[in-house]
Amino acid sequence: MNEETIQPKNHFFRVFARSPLRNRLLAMVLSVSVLPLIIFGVLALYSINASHSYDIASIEESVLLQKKDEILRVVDDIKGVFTIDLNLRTRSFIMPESADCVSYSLQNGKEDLDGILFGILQYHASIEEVSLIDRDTGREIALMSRTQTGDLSILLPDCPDEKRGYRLSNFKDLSGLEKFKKARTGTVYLSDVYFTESGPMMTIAAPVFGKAYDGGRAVIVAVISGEINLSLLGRIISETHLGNTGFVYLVGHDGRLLASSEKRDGYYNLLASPVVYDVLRGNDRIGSGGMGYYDGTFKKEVLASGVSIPNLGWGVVAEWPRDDANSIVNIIQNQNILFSLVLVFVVIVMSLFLADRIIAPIRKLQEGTKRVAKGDFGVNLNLKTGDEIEDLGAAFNEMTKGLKEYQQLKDEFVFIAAHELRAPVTAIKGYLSMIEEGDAGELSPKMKEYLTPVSQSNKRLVNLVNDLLEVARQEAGRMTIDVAKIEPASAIESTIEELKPLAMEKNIAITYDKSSARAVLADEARMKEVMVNLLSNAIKYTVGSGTVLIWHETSGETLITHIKDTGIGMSKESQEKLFEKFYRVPDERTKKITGTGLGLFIIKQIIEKMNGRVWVASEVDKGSTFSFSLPLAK
Amino acid sequence: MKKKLFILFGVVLIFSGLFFLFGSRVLGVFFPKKEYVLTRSESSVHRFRDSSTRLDAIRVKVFYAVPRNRTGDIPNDWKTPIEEALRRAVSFHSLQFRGKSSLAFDVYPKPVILDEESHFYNTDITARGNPHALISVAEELDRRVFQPDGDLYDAGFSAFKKGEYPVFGIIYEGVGASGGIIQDSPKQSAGEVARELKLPEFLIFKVHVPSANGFFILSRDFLTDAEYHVNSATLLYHEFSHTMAIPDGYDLDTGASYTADIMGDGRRKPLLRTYLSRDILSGMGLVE
Repeated sequence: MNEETIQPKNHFFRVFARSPLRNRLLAMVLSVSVLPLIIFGVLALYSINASHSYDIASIEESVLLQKKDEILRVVDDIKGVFTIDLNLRTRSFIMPESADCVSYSLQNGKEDLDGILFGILQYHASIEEVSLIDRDTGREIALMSRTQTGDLSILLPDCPDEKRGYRLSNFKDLSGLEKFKKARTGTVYLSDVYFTESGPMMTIAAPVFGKAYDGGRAVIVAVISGEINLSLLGRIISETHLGNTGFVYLVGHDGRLLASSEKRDGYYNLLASPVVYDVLRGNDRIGSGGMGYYDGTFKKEVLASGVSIPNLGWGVVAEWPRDDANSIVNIIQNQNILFSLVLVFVVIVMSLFLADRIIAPIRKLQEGTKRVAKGDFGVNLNLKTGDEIEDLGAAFNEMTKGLKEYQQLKDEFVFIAAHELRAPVTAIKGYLSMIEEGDAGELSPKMKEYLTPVSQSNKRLVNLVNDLLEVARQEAGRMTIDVAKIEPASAIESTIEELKPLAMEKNIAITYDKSSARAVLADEARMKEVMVNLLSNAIKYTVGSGTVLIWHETSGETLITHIKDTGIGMSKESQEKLFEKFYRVPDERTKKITGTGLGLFIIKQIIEKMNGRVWVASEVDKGSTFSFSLPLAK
Repeated sequence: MKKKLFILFGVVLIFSGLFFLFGSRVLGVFFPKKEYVLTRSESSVHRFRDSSTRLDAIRVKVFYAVPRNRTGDIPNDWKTPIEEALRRAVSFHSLQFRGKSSLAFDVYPKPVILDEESHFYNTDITARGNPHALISVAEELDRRVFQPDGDLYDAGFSAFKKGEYPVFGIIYEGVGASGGIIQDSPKQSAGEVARELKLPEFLIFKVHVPSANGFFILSRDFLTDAEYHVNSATLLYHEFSHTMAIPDGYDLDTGASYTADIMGDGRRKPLLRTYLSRDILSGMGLVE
């Protein structure tokens, strides 16, 4: 199939349609490389997302459990300080001196109590105030406070000197407070968190135990109470971050924000958050199954986890904005996409390159074969591929070399044969002519009848020999062309005169318009030879009467001569082969017309030797127009 | 055939590209579904157990009231400790009410020398914070400062903005520490009002202070004496709290505290470390 005849309908595909093998190779390589890449990418994305969700939950859980432990340690530490088990037998720290006066029962009096309170204050910086409350009266019998100035406030004895005591009524009565009532029963009391300008605080109260006099169970001697500043817990929380924008916060049992790792101005209640809501009801929200996703109070679209702090009813919650949490995944994904696109691009380019590398030598072979088919045996392919294609190229070169030698031998043979045949056939022609003219005596009708076909056959033989000799000369490079400035009109007019009898026989009118004729560079004799061939063909291939029109036109630097007839015409297929050797148009109407099939091949060689071109335009039953161009003489 | 291959290849490429670009959203199945955030009510701060009286903005007109026989006791810098205590009260108020109620004050530029001597205002009974002084001083101030025919009338000072809850604050050169609300009532006697409000009768007084909805009195000594330097501002806010109808958290007769906040035991603590209890705040419309 001729490649030039392939015309895909879609222009887009025409780019790729020139090499089916290359396209096939390209498709194969792309399938083998790109599809696995895509599949791998999809699987990678799948596994990244699956594991990422788990990782986020794990990180949050780890952070929260750590913070929970730290908070519980601090709280337990403080509670431990308030767990006082005195190793002494006493029922109360005060003893009545009179109806309204009391004194301290310990050896050093109030100093001992102050010492206990001082030790507690010193133990933990979070303890802002500590006091002792008498078990029976609910009176605050000792107080130590870490005020802003650092002074410790103490009471002074104010009973009459002889009683050496303190007025009971001067001690604060705290018997109505919840902390006293609860701790007095033996239970540790922890208040709600309350908010002061010092920060969030809470009250703790616990029983103070002493040894029983009867050696039995320990007895409650007093209640010790403390005010705890929860800012320390804030510091524990504030040192926590998740990614770039994630944060952790501590909420009270009612959802109030107690501390946050990000500075927050103002007051917040976070009970509306689903994770906070669940956590404060004792349901931890941790792990992949517990992690929540919602619009947080502080940031939109957060991934959150939370744990509850037992006994206190608090919650620690981590909120990580989804965009930040997924940023690493997005980065990986984008890198994945970029890498994949680059890879696909590289694969496509490399595939095209690879396919072309494979196709190129095959194309050369294809071109070479075409040229050989057209008779050009001088083709020498230089294929350096280092594989079987190179071997094929070498074999091809051997073949063309052989064909060229064969052609040369054939041309030489034809030339010699035609040359040797020319003398005898010319002699035969001469003698036949003399016999027909009566030089050998009068011919009988019978003799004339026998001589006529002999004469015609000899004539054909002479033409064949002459044409073969002409072709052989051309192919051997022996054809001589003498190019000079000539007036084509005179060659054409003499040709018309020569062939007029033939035309008149068939009632064919020849018209020559020489108005556009101009001087050209050509061999006049050869040009006449061309005109004789074309004009005689125009007459021969017009069945019945007709017309032959000859005219010129100028095109650029050339003069074109047209010879148009009203003959039988020919098909497109015949036109393509018309100027090949020995080709004759297969037509029933022209079977009887004699010819060697070499005439048009010869004139094509002649015209091309004179730097011209010859072509034909024809339509079956409508005639043909032969045209040739020659360079204008300047 | 090749055209179909190219189309197929193009489709695969496009889908894979889309998957890469949006796959993480498609694969959001690995992440939890979005949950709804609960809706919470908005706070609307009002008088304790009286939602009809809003306390979005409170303005206190503060006077340093000196009986005419006590002018010699006026300290040179009488204003600074008052303003300092008031500033701290404002800060405390903002924190406790979470910014849902604002407190502002104006201090009358000069000490107000009262018409009468101290015994008129103190009487013999100064128990329970000397409410008699509170009432008589408040009535006099209203007449003299807030009425146009008063000798100390100041149109600029006496004005309250629309929506402000008006309060008188009296720093008294004498014995005093009490506060309360002023409410119109058609009842004729304190007893009738006490029965209606289910309060002890000794807490109900008949007053004529049309320019204020609440008033408090505090002895100047509480703001300047060293004995009270720890909780001077606390005492001021404690008395001011009564103008919002907040009751005491301790027994007025025995002094025994039954709450730990500023209305009870907390009144003895520095303002920095005391608070208003959640019961009171929720009773005043604050949603936690």
